[in-house]
Amino acid sequence: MSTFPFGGNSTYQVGDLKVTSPTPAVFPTDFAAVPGISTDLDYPLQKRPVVTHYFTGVDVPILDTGSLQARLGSNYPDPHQAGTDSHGLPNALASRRAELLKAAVRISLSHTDTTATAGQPFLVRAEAVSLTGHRFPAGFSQERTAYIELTVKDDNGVLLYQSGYQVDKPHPETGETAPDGNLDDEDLEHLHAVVDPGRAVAPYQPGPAGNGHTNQVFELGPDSGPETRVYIGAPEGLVLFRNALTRIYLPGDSLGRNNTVLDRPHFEEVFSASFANAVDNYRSLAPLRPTTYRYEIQLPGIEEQQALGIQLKGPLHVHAQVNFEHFPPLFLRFLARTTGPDGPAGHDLQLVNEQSIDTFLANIKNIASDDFTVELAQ
Amino acid sequence: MTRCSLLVLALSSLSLAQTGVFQAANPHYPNRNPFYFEGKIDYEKLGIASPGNAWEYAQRGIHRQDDLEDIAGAVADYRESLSLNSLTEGSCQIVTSVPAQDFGKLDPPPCMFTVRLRLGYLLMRGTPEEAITLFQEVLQIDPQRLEVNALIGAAYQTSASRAKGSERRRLYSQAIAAYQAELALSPVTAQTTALTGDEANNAHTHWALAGIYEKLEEPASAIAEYELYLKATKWHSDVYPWRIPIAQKKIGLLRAALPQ
Repeated sequence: MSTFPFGGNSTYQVGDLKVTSPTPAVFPTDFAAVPGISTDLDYPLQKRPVVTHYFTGVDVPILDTGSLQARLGSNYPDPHQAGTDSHGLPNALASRRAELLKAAVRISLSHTDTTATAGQPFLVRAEAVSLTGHRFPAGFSQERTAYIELTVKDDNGVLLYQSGYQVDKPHPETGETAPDGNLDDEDLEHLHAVVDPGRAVAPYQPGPAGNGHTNQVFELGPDSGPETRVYIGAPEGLVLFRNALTRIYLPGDSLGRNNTVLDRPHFEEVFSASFANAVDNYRSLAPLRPTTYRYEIQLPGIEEQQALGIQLKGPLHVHAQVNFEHFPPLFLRFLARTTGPDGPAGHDLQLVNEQSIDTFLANIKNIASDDFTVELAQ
Repeated sequence: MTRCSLLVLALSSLSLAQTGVFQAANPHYPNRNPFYFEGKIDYEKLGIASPGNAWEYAQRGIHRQDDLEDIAGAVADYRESLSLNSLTEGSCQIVTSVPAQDFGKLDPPPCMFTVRLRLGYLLMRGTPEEAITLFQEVLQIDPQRLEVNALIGAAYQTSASRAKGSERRRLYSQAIAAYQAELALSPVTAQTTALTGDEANNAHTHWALAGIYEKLEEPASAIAEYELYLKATKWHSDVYPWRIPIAQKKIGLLRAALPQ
């Protein structure tokens, strides 16, 4: 249920998807200008339907309110302010943002295979669409992150497949030496990357030697999906609605993480817009035209079930949900290091650190979801 | 006079834009590149009534494969694309140096890797040998590209599972070599461990290697690979999380079977 003044749901067709979403445009009634202040000669105004001008977007500040107001002025609004305004709209940017996101996407599993067999693969088909009128995410879409979290369990709750998952882990690069019990500061498992923060060089010289921005660590993870789906066409791994920054390295270039000098071109995802020299803006979710993403999922066979001491019980339960995080944690950790005391500036710019990442990076989970059951043939 | 100056300025800007020398004096401005867009574009945006070149055939093939699940159509389009972007026929080239100028006008154009990877993937189960040839062409284009060696390893595994005797062993050895090449492209170094805490990576590659060593009845190597798989999944789990307890159990069983 929306926290906005609620006008009911609308149901309509987008491609072959039947979509239900909150009715937009429940306009408050008020003066269109402030009588006596914004009008000449105290011109008499009538109350009428008006539009608020919050311009809510999908990001919230990664700063506490005190720091925000110290930097931007004491009247800067608290992004998490409790209560509603005089029109019943949430005061908090964070709340309005969450409501906006919940109306942004829909997902359906209705074209998934209806039966599966132990030891054999079956296909999950997740059909998703952006209702925003533009691609989702938009704007800084190479860092804003939306993705499908998908699980398949048997009827006993045994987890058979997961994609779009996170694992609590240490982050020595920013001083977190042990898991902290927080999943919101964890990257997805399609890729493990650490970006070189650069280093202070006197006198300052532009370019990677001082500024870094190359990948110090770059390896594919167990949920590799974005690269695999686009370049190989394999129906497996993470579905990530995030556009990709790419560096096309040329012969003679170095990757920066070893001594190899390339003798051929090499395409590699990078996380700094200034270091990329190519961009793929077709990975975000297309608007108003459903797109189907397939997952070929292998079920454990008899021998594997015996080794696990289980017997699969049907039906299988497939759950898919779309989640949103405004920045990948690895990008924020790069910012923390590159603006930290060891970065190119040579002193701490006090912008972001592991503690602020832990505190303010909050994922908006389950902005849309669907469930499907699959019969299990023995 | 002012109007005339503006016209000269506009023409000179146009001229610079056309020759690609915008920001030419800035040594840190990214160079234009001659490469095709590798990846997938929303097909309806391209307005391709009938493909006219290698790239357009590749894009229609991707549309058929991903959006229409028309695998036969995709294979036909990928083959047509490769006939127009062929290493053997000289209709594409491997870029081995940076041309001094007009980098955007290489003739023949650079070879594409997406179409080779996609066709190879679709052929892996039926004709793994043909898939391997395509993947090896990708390694000529970009030897540092991740996943390609693993695909070669998987294709050799498929071939080995259909072979017998020494041929089977030879093909499994080829698969092992390919998987090892995959690991070598993203090694776990002291820097990796210092930055991430990871002691191993590439969980799926270690899982595949362990399975091969089991088939070859080399238990010590299988144990080593299952142990690396467990290290690789320690902070990253697996899309198939049930493999983790299986690996633990297999290590115990394999150890018990080792000669004392």
